[in-house]
Amino acid sequence: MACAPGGLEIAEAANIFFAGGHQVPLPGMARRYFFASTSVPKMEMNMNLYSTRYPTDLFGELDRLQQQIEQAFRGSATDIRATGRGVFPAINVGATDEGVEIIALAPGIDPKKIDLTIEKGVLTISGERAAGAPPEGRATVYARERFSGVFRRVINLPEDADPDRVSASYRDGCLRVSIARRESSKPHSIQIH
Amino acid sequence: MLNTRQLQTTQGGAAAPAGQAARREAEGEASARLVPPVDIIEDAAGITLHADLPGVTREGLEVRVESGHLFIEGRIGVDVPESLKVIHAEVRGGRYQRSFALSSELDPERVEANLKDGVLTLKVPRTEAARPRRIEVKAE
Repeated sequence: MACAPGGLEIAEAANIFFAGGHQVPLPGMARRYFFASTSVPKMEMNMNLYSTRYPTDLFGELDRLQQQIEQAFRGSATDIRATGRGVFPAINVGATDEGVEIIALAPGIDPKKIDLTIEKGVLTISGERAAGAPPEGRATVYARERFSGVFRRVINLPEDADPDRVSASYRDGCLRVSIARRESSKPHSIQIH
Repeated sequence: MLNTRQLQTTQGGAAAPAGQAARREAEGEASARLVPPVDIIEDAAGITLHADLPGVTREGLEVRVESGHLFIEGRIGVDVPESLKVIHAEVRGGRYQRSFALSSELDPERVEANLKDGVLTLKVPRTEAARPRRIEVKAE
């Protein structure tokens, strides 16, 4: 193991990530290098922090990228019933002062067969999409990317959603559910006398 | 869940800058391309293709064949109220786009297209010359 320049102990050097025989400091360790090595000529220190073999701090970049990705997914508090991406049907939820709009992208389904229920502030959309009729005769299937089978999506509604004022429509493969907010919970301005 | 639009509006603070950011992001998203999933089956008559294009009406759909390639483009036409604030978006994008290369035995002149409930069905038949034929074997 090469001795870490700038007076770091061998034990501390063991914490340093080795990449292709060259020492690459972890983001947290970079500060150590800075403060510990006042006696080392500047050129050598630059060689370690900004290596000539890898023009960028490769593993620092990867660490930062991983943190950014985790941040993006952790960003807003996820609902306990939220599902990952790639689920059928995809759902977009929007809110206005009047109510909540839910759009489910579910093409090729008979709207009479979609099961839509609200119970205790939870909206459930479920149904089944049949796979295409099996081809008769000799046929080759090149791609089967479309979803088929039973699906079920569950959405938490905000507390002031009024389950008695719901309307739903199905058009061009989009199921739209509009739920009005309770009158009493809409924003009211209060007069001060 | 990825929910950057909500993050933007909460970090924006006042309503005006958040509205502008949302509009700019909406314009950017309006041209974001989505790839529609397809089912492709080939039989003796030709190729049948089903594509999921939810939210696309007949006016927003464009199917064309150009130099041996089949292009499917659809614009999503779902109108939402102006003041709608997006809470959760699993689909971000305003249009679908996908293209395929057609081999020469498929006849682009006789493509049949049908759009129902957001599902596009295309039937591309084979040219007459390319249809499979049985060859009679004469016994000597």
